[in-house]
Order: sequence, then C-alpha cells, then structure tokens
Amino acid sequence: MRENLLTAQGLVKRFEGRDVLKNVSLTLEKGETAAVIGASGAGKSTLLRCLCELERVDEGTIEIGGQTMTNGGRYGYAPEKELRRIRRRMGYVFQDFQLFPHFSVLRNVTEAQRCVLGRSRKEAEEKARALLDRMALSDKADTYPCFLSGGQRQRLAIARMLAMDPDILCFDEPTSALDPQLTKEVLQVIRSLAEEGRTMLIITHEMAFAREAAGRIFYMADGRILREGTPEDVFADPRVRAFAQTE
Amino acid sequence: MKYLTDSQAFFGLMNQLWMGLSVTLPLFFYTLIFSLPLGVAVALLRMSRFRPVAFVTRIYILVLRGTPLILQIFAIYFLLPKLLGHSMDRMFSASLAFVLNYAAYFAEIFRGGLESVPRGQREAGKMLGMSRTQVFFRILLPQMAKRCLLPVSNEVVTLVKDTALVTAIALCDMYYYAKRATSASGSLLPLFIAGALYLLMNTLVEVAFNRLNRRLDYYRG
Repeated sequence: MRENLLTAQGLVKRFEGRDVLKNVSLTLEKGETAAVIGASGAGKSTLLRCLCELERVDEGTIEIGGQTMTNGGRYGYAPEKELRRIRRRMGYVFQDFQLFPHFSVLRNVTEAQRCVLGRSRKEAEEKARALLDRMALSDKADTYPCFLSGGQRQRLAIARMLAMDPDILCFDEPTSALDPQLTKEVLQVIRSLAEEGRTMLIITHEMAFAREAAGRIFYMADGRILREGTPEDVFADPRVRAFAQTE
Repeated sequence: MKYLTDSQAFFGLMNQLWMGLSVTLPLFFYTLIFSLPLGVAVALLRMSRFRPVAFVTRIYILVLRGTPLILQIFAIYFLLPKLLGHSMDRMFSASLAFVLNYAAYFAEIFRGGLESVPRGQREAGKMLGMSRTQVFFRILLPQMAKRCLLPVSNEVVTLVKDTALVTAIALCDMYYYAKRATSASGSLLPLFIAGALYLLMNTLVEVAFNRLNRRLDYYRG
C-alpha cells in the first residue's frame, strides 16, 4: 500500500458567487510527481492555493499527511496553530517568485529556518549554502534578489522552499514568467527533484514537461478535474489533445 | 535695528532663542519617538478586518487630520484637565497633542506603504511557516519603511515648523521668544533669525533622511 500524503474531497470554492472549483477531489501519493494542466481560468491555481490554505474552500475536506486541515468547508478549519504545523509540510513556489527583496540571497534561505524551525545561524547557513550550491547560485549568496536573472530568482525560490524540508512541493506555474532558455534551467531543477522521489504538485503550461516528468496528470477545465491518470492515458483523451494543441 | 548694531542685544536674543530650543527640541523628539510606533499601530487598527475597530480608527484619523492642530493643543490643554479633574503640565499636553496628531498622519502613510507591498510577500512568509507577527516584523515592516521614507520626511519637516504652535498655550519655545523680542523692539529681525534656525534644523532633517534613503537603496522592489 502506498501512503497518501494529500487527500482532498469535494472541494468547492466560490468567488463572489461564481464557482471556481466545482467538487474537486484528488489524492497525492508519497513520492509521486503530479502535474495539473488546463486552460487559464480552469481553477488550477485556486486548487493549489486551497490545498495550501492560501485560500479557504467553501466546501470539502482536506487532509495532509494524516492531519486534517478542514473537515468540512469554510467552518471546519483546524485552529491556526495546527494549520501552521500542517502548512509547514507544504512548500510553495510562486509564479512571480515572491523573494524577499530586502534580504540577501543567503538570508532569503536562512530566515525562515531560523525563525520558524529555530535552527542556529551556523546550521541554517550550512543548509542554505548547500542548497544554493545545488541551484548553481553559490557565488550569489551575498547579493540581493533584484540583481538576479529570472531563472536565478526562481531557483532561489526553490532553494528557499527546500530549506524548510517540506513533504509536498507545490509549484504554481513556476516558469510562466520566464523566457524559453530560463524555463529550461528551472525545469531541469524540478526534474531533478522528481528523480529524487519528492512528492510534487506542479501547475504547468509546459505540456512536454508534464508528459515526461510527471507520473500523473490532472486535466482541469471549468473548475473540475475532467481527467486524471498516467500521461499516456490523459494525453490520449481527445479533449486533452485538443487543449494541448492550443498550448 | 538695534540687534545688528548692539551686540549685547543680539547675544541676549540668541540666548533666549537658545532657551526656546529647550522646549522646541524635546517636543520635536518626543513627537517623533512616540508618534511613529503609534502610527504603525493605528495603521494596523485601520486595516483591521473587524469592522468596528477599523471604523473607530477611521474616525480618529478623520478628526485629527481634519481639525487644526492648534485646536487640538487647546483641547488637550484646557479640556482634558476638566475631564480628568487635575491640571496637566503644558509640555506634556503639547506633546500629547502632537503625538496623537502626527500618529494620524503617519498611520495613513504607513497604511499606504503596507498596502503597496505585494500580497504575495505575506503569502510567501506564510508558506514558509512564519506566524503573522513574524511576517509583519520581518517581511512587511522593513519593506514598508523603505516605501514610506520620503512621505515621512515631509511630515518631519512640517513637524519642525509646527512646534511653533505651542506658543499658543504660553510654552516658551523658540518662536515664543522671537515673537516677544519682535513685539518689544518693533524689529522683525528676531522672527527672521528664528526662521533661519528652523531652516537650519530642517536642513539637518533633510540630510538625515537623504542618508537614510541612500542606506536603504541597497535593493530595489
């Protein structure tokens, strides 16, 4: 039996009376890489944001690693203290990076380690330097995010997330703010994380990448998951094929 | 023109203005030290999602920005003792009025600054497991400070000049002495000298803010 790290059932999310998520259910197994694809406005980002409690669902249940985030929609959420603990298991990479501009590259990676995990400066910096090294950013440690290229910024955001040792890595269109060359750089990094057996949920418009790097694909349209399965199965679906051609 | 020809009169005047500074400067620094943090607190209350709190804070800001500071000084110096049943020190009353008034202005500047920090910054902190307090002090406040520096410098320059208002409750600040010397001698020179000293103080304020601005220039965004 494989372990489910994430279980979401019957998610409904409304924005100003409009249903953005219409009864969405999904599970994520430990160690699998899942990609969410679909047209803009299909609800992909909202889904991911709900799973990380950046938005709250109106209906449905979410469970992360056996801990209940909400057991019944908007009013079923766990207390903030517990939510913080649950959220700590999730890592999140934003489309537009959201690095901390007033901190050096190194401090972007150490800050939360120190103030959230209580690691010592030495411990946090060692971890940060190892991650920066992996992201080919070691020579940038003392500069500031505004002096980095887009690809470097996104790799720094990934390092910042990994420093917290999350169980589930969430990527919200990590390459859509990047040009093709920089996209390649960042996808390479994400691929290497997948090969390590990390549990990942990636929203992407890169069909080739989804097909090749993800073990499972969710195809969303109009607030629902219309199709899920292996890349072969999902891309065999004529609806998905029609959509993929427009990308 | 006796102040230009009679050196004793000139130094006598300078001595008085100097004494006046012992009111002007503490008033300036008290106001700055207390109204800046109070302004942050008021900004947060103004942004509270709990409607009544936001509403009351909004009224506070409206009244303090919407009525003359000199009236507020009178109100606190003359009315508050009646309500409390005991008299209040002039300096304390004046400082209190200034702190409350400037906090209202600072609050709106800070609110603008906080709202201009992208929402994603808060979310990034949240997703790294930071508490709301940690996000505020480590992520939002430093970025807000940079964004607010120049509007705040405007207020501080105004504050230097506003201190002259306390003459109205007979506090012997620099302006009080200058005005008295002008009345006694019929010469405008004491007031102009005081004006030059206010300008000098504001030159220092300007230099300080320019330095601060340069120090915060190590990053963009």
